[in-house]
Amino acid sequence: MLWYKAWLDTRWRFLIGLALIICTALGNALTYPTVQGILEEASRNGSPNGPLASEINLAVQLSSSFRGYVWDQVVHHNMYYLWTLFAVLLAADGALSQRTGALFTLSLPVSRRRLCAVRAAADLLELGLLALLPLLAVTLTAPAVGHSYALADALIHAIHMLIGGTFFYCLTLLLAAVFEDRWRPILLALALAIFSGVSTEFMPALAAFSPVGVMTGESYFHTGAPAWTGLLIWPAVAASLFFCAVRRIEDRDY
Amino acid sequence: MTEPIIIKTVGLKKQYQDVTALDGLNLSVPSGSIYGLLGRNGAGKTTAMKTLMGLVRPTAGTAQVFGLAADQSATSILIRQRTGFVSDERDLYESMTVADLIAFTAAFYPRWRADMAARYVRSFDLPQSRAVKALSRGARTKLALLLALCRGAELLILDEATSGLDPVAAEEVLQALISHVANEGTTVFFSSHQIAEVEQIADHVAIIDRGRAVLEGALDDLREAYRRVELVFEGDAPATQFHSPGVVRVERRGRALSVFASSGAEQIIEEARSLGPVSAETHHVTLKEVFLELISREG
Amino acid sequence: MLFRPNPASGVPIYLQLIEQVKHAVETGALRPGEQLPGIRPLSEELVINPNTVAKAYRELEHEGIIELRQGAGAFVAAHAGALRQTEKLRGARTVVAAAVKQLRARGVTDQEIRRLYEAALAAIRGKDGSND
Repeated sequence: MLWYKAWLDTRWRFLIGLALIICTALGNALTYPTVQGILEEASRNGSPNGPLASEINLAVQLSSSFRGYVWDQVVHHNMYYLWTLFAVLLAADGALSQRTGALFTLSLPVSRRRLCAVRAAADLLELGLLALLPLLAVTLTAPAVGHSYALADALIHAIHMLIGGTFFYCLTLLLAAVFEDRWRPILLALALAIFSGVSTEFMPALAAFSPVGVMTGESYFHTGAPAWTGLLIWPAVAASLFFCAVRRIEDRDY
Repeated sequence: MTEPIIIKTVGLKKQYQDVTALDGLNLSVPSGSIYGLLGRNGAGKTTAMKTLMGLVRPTAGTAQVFGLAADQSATSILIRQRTGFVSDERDLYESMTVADLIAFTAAFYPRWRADMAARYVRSFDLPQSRAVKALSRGARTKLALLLALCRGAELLILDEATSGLDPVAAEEVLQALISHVANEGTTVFFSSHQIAEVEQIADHVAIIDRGRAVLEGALDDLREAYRRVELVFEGDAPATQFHSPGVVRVERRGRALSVFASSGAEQIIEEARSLGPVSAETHHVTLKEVFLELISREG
Repeated sequence: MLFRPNPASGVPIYLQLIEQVKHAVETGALRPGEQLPGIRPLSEELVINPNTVAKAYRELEHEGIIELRQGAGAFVAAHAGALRQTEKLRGARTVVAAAVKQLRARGVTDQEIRRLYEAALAAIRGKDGSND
């Protein structure tokens, strides 16, 4: 019954997020031919100069292949921000504070630990789907524009996004357990996610200090080898944040 | 014959940042009793109940239900398996329908009584397919009560069960409680502002003020002990000090002297005779008078 | 419905019930051998605590006014009427004794007390023309 309740509480966020991410992913993927055309035109007019020149050149270079284009636009940009947004939104009420019926739930003969665990498990299942289904959609529809996107790529990038992204999920959960209002946890977590995303683009050296690299599967994209250390470290950090959150929830007064 | 004590708090304290909600609360609720908790708003009734249900952690003191510690997670679950709770906010899942919420709750209690639930749905006239948020206040309270009554609980903890209800609905709630107690032998621990309803159904009461119990005991014992002694004199009433220990308050008004006593009314009459009153009478006092007397004294 | 206790009167409800049962026996509303409502149904009907009803019934049984038969219910005892009568007179005796004591304390003689009582009875008889 707790699983059912978790679904009832999160289904709209899940469905809206799914629709949003799939649409933007497909929007990107299916307009590739047009983008290709524009880029070819632009390159004929000469390479750009100026402060953002290297970033733009990099983007152009990546977009010369469909795989690169999908990685850069869909995974690295759209999905990283949108997926993280929904991970944060799902985690924000996991601490039972803002939900109606919190007193009712807590008066059931179930431990708070179990309530948190079931809800987190349900959320992570949904987030897994939010990572996988859009990329699968790209794989399925790519032939329609005369390209292909490997199933292996879709699966492995989805796994990276989910595993690395548990960090933001658990961070938000802990913030929600500590702050008793609804907005601060969401804004703080999102601010961190945005800062991480933007800063690693301009200062790639910072990638080691944030889960962005793991979430976007950067090393897998470039070298075909998954980021093993990252895939172990970031979920471990996330797990310790989760345990802190559960402890805080157990000690809290409702 | 001593019944087992089903709820026991000793020196229970709860300190929030700037508010002392409970300040050394001592309560003993006997098994099978209907125990009424009276007190002003903010006196600590809700905090006490939440502590028993494991929703709030005490700062000091002990709280035990069924002999189990209420502030330990493992034992608290055991307590909640055998207890039905109705919060004063009637906190329920707004978007679920009545039928869904009943089915949801039933899943957590192996002793759930589906027959009883069906009966209450009918007698409370609850619309099964309506969402909780669309229910009237009375229907919400009755639904919350149903969910507490049908889980096969040995103890019911009810916070202001009839507040906001019209007299007809309130009586229906009391009837359901009495019927439950009579047939299932459940213990009821309830808080109320309605002194009349406490007098009607409770056999034990406690008056709680500023986080402490200022009075506790069997209601009939209180009724037999508390008296108002009315003395009338020829001239102005004398300003005497009564030495009897049960004297709570003495009020002088012209030729009349009114003594509010918690015990020993006969002793007071004897003492009063020496003053030569024209008339000396004892009267029963209502629970409301006791309440107002004790609460206003502290203030 | 025979019983109507007043919870707000300050008098314990069980005492009120006891008194109402005794009164019913005295007036003949309840006859020896007749069954009283069961504890549970009565408490549900009056919406009062079943422990209260149980307490009243126990006390009534102790005084011999009713009998509690295992499995069958509560019944008015055969001699309940007589018992009530004895109790009534016992109560009356106390009242008279107290009055006499008080009057003597004021210096009224026995002769005068007797005359006062008879005068009072005559006055009441004259008022409503009935005899007991």
